[in-house]
Amino acid sequence: MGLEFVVEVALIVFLIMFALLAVELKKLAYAVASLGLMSTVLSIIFYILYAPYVAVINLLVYAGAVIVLFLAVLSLMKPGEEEGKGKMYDIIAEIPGGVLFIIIAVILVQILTTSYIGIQFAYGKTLNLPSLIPPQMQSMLQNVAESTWRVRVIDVLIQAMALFVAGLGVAVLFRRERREKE
Amino acid sequence: MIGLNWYLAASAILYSIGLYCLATKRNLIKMIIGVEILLNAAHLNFIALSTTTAGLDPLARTYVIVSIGVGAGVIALALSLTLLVYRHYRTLDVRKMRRLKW
Repeated sequence: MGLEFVVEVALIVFLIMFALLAVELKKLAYAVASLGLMSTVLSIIFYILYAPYVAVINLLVYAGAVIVLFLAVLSLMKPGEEEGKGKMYDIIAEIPGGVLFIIIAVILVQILTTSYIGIQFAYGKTLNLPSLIPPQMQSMLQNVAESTWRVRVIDVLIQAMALFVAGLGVAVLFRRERREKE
Repeated sequence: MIGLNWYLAASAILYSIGLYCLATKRNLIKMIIGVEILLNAAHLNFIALSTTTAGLDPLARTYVIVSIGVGAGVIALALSLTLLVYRHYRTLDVRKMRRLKW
């Protein structure tokens, strides 16, 4: 039983523990924070399972953009109306425009970065990124990149569009909320 | 790397937690958290089953990448609807939302 075994089992235990906390914690902000930690642990597990693209995208989308979105929605609800509201939401409620900017920027950076890395990798150019990955796995990862950026490129573009439209839709909803306040 | 069974068991437990959350919680935000846990369980299952000692299945990874994007869109939409529901009913408790007519 080596160190690797202990680390992987510990990650699985943390994953399940954070999932349980996300479900059971009364305060919604703590539950959302626990969900973010769960997504981060899951990204590490993906990396261990030789899926670095999935790990990076999971980290950016689920542990980043979605958690910011959860907190932004919580900030737009009045304190005391639902369980676990506190004063900390008022700080976020003051800057809905800034939060929106962060969400859209994260999504755009994700799309541009993955496109750049994926296209470079798929077309055989040198990359320093996967140097942490064992050499025997690199050709297999190149198959993943080719599958993503050559075979299923339409799916990936549709995914990027869906994310962008979701960001814009949320932006429209938040703008309406601000107009109602004014 | 530890055996496949560990990851499949973790995925099954995560899926059960997500289903439990959807079945028992009455708060809309908690229900969306349950949906995200369900999605994560499915992704872990896909990645674990596509990683074998013989090699990696690239299509499964591509499918998970697409699923992450679609899932994020679904969660963004659900949160937007939650915000609208909250503005109308002034609560997040699904038991108190008896009228469907806006």
